[in-house]
Parts: sequence; structure tokens; C-alpha cells
Amino acid sequence: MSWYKISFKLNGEHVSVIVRGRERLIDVLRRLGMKSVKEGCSVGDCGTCIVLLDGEPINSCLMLAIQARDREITTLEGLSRGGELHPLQRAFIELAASQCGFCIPGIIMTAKGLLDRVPQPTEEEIRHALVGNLCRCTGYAKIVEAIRSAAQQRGSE
Amino acid sequence: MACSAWGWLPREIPELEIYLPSRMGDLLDYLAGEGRGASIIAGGTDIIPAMRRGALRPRRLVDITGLRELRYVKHDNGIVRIGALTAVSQLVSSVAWLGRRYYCFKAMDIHFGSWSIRNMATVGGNISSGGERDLVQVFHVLEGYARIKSREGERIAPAWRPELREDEIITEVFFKDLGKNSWTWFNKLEMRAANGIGIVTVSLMLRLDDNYVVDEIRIALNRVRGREAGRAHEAERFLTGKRIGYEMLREAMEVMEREISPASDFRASGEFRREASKILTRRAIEAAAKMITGGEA
Ligand SMILES: Cc1cc2nc3c(=O)[nH]c(=O)nc-3n(C[C@H](O)[C@H](O)[C@H](O)COP(=O)(O)OP(=O)(O)OC[C@H]3O[C@@H](n4cnc5c(N)ncnc54)[C@H](O)[C@@H]3O)c2cc1C
Ligand code: FES
Ligand code: FES
Repeated sequence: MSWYKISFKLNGEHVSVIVRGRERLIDVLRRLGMKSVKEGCSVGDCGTCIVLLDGEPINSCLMLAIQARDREITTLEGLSRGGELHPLQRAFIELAASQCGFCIPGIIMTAKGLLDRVPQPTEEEIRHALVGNLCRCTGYAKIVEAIRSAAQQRGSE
Repeated sequence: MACSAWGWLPREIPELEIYLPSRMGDLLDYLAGEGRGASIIAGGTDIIPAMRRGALRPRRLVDITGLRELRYVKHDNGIVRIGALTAVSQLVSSVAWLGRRYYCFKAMDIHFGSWSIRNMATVGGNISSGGERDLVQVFHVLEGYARIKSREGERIAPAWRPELREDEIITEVFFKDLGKNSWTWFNKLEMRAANGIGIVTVSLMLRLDDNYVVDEIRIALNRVRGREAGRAHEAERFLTGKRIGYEMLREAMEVMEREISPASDFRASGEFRREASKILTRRAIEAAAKMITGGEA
């Protein structure tokens, strides 16, 4: 069996971890306690496993953990600061944009990637960014609204 | 027995040894020596699903993502060069400075996977997987070539058919920059609005002369004969030297209808694919001609 020691930045902190060659990034993130990272389809279709790699959304079910060496990973757990929720998290709660919640961490990470690039996205830009995030409960309307509301709040802060 | 939504049971990725080269020389030595038969992993978006399906069971992988120097889009002396590790999203953004005539790359933002997939999927991985994949068809109409390296040296092969040996790696794809009066197009008909598998894709390069006569046209379809992707050479020949117009496009699509015979499968019948190929091609030519002429032709 092959084991490898890798280091990367996880939610702003350096971590060193021993991984197996066959372990995917999602496996190691969950092992490290990042339980917001969910496994839906395992093959890149549903987006529940999306995290940020150097600020860009990627599917952690399609990447080997070893490929994260020396890179920077952000999961939902890294968004709140000193107990204060991120504007996206607050907006999802205020607008009741989540039902079962399984898809929401992936959606918030895609939305974070989008707002970091396009601070005031249009509805079309939000929907386009979310093409790879499936939600079987909400019908997306509230999700889009929550992302717009978070963008506006950030703009006025 | 367990079942799954895809009709196949995902398997665990097999136990793997992974080699992590940080220099091209080390990679080539490994592939030609102790790592013979190892599979390359880049973005992982084809190879991980293939391992989960059980279609591929490598014992050794080489992760090439450490070769950061293979991520670039450049323009030197009339040649556009794209590094093998360039992500599809990077290719999309390069259109801002490469020029709007490379709409075929811009269209990937709409038609290629989802944003997260475009951030992972690489140009080299797409070409190497081949078949009906989107960039394969796009490079066919751009007449792009793959630069392929091994310990024995370097060779150049068509990007749409690189036919790699197990000790080889694609380092870049390059093509001659399209001059003025040229435009490219890419369109895909899919069952889902996006992130699905295309039923029909059309890639196009059109160049008109100053009198709006077709100087050169290249059309690639994801299925020309059976499941084979390729160019619609007879339709291209028919169109060359003619002025774009309603009647002439109708006749050209009749030529294409006789030329192609796409295979049926559970996604669509061959008949449907043939009809859709004609419609998408016609729209692509009209759109490209409009962009070149500013709407005059
Ligand atoms: C949800 C989803 C949606 C998708 N949508 C599309 C789509 O719309 N259009 C489309 O065309 N494809 C699509 N794909 C397929 C895939 O994303 C692309 O083919 C992608 O470009 C593969 O690149 P990669 O870097 O991920 O390859 P990997 O999976 O890392 O590798 C693929 C193959 O190429 C080999 N390889 C990789 N790089 C090199 C190299 N430099 N030299 C030699 N061999 C190499 C590997 O050994 C492997 O055999 C999709 C995949 C998923 C999961
Ligand atoms: S679990 Fe990764 S995309 Fe579905
Ligand atoms: S809230 Fe249930 S899947 Fe999105």
C-alpha cells in the first residue's frame, strides 16, 4: 500500500497529512472533519462536493488528494470569521434558501467563487455559475435570490 | 444486489502508486523506464470516472499537475500555442486578447461541462481522451497540431488524432493564427441545458475573401460516419469559392445530408443526428458570415 505525506493550506491554515494514493480530495477533507463537503454523484455531475482550489471552484470527487499538495483549499468551514457567519451564509438563512440542505455547501462555495470574481452578478450570471450544482428541493429561485442579496449586502458594507 | 442511478456500480479507485514529477526530463525518464504502462492524470475529470466505472485499473499514475510551465496560451510569430495543462476556463478567458474570431473557445463557457469542470479539465486531457470530445473537433477545424514528447525525442501529430504511445506526453497544441476575415464557431445540441453529453456538436472555421466569397471553410462534426468524429469534406468542397446565400446553403446542406451517416444510440437516432447536424451547421455558417461581414452578407 502506498502512503504519501502532503501539506496544503486548508481554510487559511497549513496542514500536513498522510494520504493514500487512491484517496480523493473529498475523502481526505471529510477525514479532516470538513463534513460540509458532501458526496452526491461521485462523477462530477451534482456539485455537492465543490470546494475552492486557489480560489476556483472544483469538484473534490474528481481530484486525488495528493494533487492538492502545496495548494490552497477553502471549504464552507473556512467562510465564517470569529463566529460571524459569511454574508452568503446569513442570506441563505434569512431568505430560507435551503430545504434539506445537502446541496447548499457546494452552492455557497460556487457562489463565493463567483462573488470574488464578479461582485455584483446578474441573475443570468448566477444561474450560469450554478449549472453544475443540482438542488432537488428548492427550485433554485430562493438560492439565486440569496446570492443576489449577499452581493448587495457586501456592496453596501 | 446494489444498483445506482447511472446503471453501473461505482467501484473504489484501485490501490495506486503515484509518481509526482516536477521536471519534464524526470517525467519522460519515468514513462520510458520504471513507470512504463503508468497512466497520466491531469485534471482527473475523465480518468477518475473511468477508474470508478472499472474501465481503467492502473496500478501506477503520474500526476503531471506539478509541471506548472505547461499552463499557458501564447501568440508567437503568427502561431497560437496552448500548453497541455491549460484549463478550459483559461482557454475561455484567453479569447479576450486572442481575438473574438476565436469564438469556438468562448463557446466552451456555454457548452463545456460546468464552471468547476472547466476549471479542472485540461486541453491535453481532452485531446488525449479524443473521440467525440469538444476540443478535439475544435482543433480539427483550427488544424491544430499536438507536440508530443518522449525520452526518444519529439514528434508532431494532428491534435484530433495524436495516437499516443504509453511513454509519450502531449506538451502543447499549436495552430496558425487565423487571419482577418475569419471566424470560428462551436455549437452543441444536448439533452440538458448544460453539463450533459452532446448529441450533435458542430465546429466551424470560415474565411471569406473581400467579395464575401468563401475562401476556406472547415466543418467538424462529432459523428460523421457511425460513431466517428470528423470533417464534412464534401460539404466544405461544395461551399468553397461560392458566395454565402440562402439557396447555396440549402444545397450545401443537401450535400452534407448525403455525406454523413451518424450512428444511432439511446440518446438519439442516426436520422435525428443527421437532421440536427445540418441545422446546426447551417446556423454556424450564417452566424460566422454575419460576424465577418458585419451583417452585410
Ligand atoms: C461532469 C463532466 C462534464 C464534462 N463535460 C464535457 C464537455 O462538455 N465536453 C468535453 O469535451 N468533455 C467533457 N467532459 C470530459 C472531460 O472533462 C474532458 O475530456 C477533459 O478535457 C479531460 O481533461 P482532464 O485534464 O480532466 O483529463 P484526465 O482525466 O486527467 O486525463 C484524461 C486522459 O488523458 C490522458 N492525459 C491527460 N493529460 C495528458 C497529456 N498532457 N499527455 C498525454 N496524456 C494525457 C490521461 O492519461 C487520461 O487517459 C466532462 C467530464 C465530466 C466529469
Ligand atoms: S459528488 Fe462530486 S460532483 Fe457529485
Ligand atoms: S436543499 Fe435539498 S438538494 Fe438543495
